[in-house]
Amino acid sequence: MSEELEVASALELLRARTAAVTPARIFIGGVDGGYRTADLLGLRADHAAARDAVRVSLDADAPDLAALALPEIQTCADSIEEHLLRPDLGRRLTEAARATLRERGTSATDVQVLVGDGLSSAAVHAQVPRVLPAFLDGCRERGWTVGRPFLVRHARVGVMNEVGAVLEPEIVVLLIGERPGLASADGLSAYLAYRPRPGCTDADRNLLSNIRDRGTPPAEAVARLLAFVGAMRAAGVSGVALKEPDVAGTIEPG
Amino acid sequence: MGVPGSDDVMLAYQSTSFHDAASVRELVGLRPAPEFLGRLQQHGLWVDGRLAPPPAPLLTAMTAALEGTRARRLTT
Repeated sequence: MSEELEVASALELLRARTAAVTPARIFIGGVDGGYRTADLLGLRADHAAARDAVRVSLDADAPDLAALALPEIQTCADSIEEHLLRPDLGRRLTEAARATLRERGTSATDVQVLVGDGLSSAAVHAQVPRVLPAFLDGCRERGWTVGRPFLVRHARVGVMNEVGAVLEPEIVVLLIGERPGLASADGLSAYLAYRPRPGCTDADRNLLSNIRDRGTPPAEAVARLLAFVGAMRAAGVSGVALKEPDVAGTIEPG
Repeated sequence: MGVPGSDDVMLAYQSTSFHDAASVRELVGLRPAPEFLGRLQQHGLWVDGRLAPPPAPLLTAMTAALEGTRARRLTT
């Protein structure tokens, strides 16, 4: 075998091995310093897909999501464009949204779940139907009261503060679409806060991120969220003062 | 900075890649810092004044080193 062929075949084996354990674009070879054409085109296509993903609106009528029967409220961001350009508006509820919360929501529960589109509706469509019902079941099994979950359109993380002020639950859990990566627009984040109120910051919240099959799989995310909520209720705090409980031993290996 | 394929798969950020750095270096006629150049030459990654494909034995050794590893989370 020529030396060149030998290198190509050894590189192919290494690439196959690493591709099985990570989506990182490592050992992709190159031509002198640059990418091979296929890799360059692949990067451009994936980047375009990520940009597109941000602009796709949440479809509340999609079967898996509609089955959850979540009442919908909206932030002060009126359109996708405004949502992207004005994060401050995405943290505030409209008067109509507050009224809907009061009329259809439940006050002073142990756990209040919100579902927000954030920067990826694809993440909501892909992960929320797999996370939300199991999480709510887990809460009820533990004897925690749960408020009726709401869908918040054009939501930013800070909207938790306003919902906390209106419904006054002990804990707010926000399931929200993450900013898409290259060809991975389906990552969901779960933010948790103990008695959030206007003025609370990220330092007052805890986060479980990258909920997706190739990150934290939904079933594992549910177990970790339930442990988190339990620890939060016991400690009466959230944010930097609270460390995530170690539940590794209780999760079935994938 | 060097990020594989400019794609930070953990943080979902895009940045500059090792390829970008190497391409820019080649375009403007710069070479790696002497210490790095020496190390690249030592491992057969810099030959005749430019980056060279890794030698096959190095690739094979890296593949062997991955034996037994598995994706911690690749459930579907």
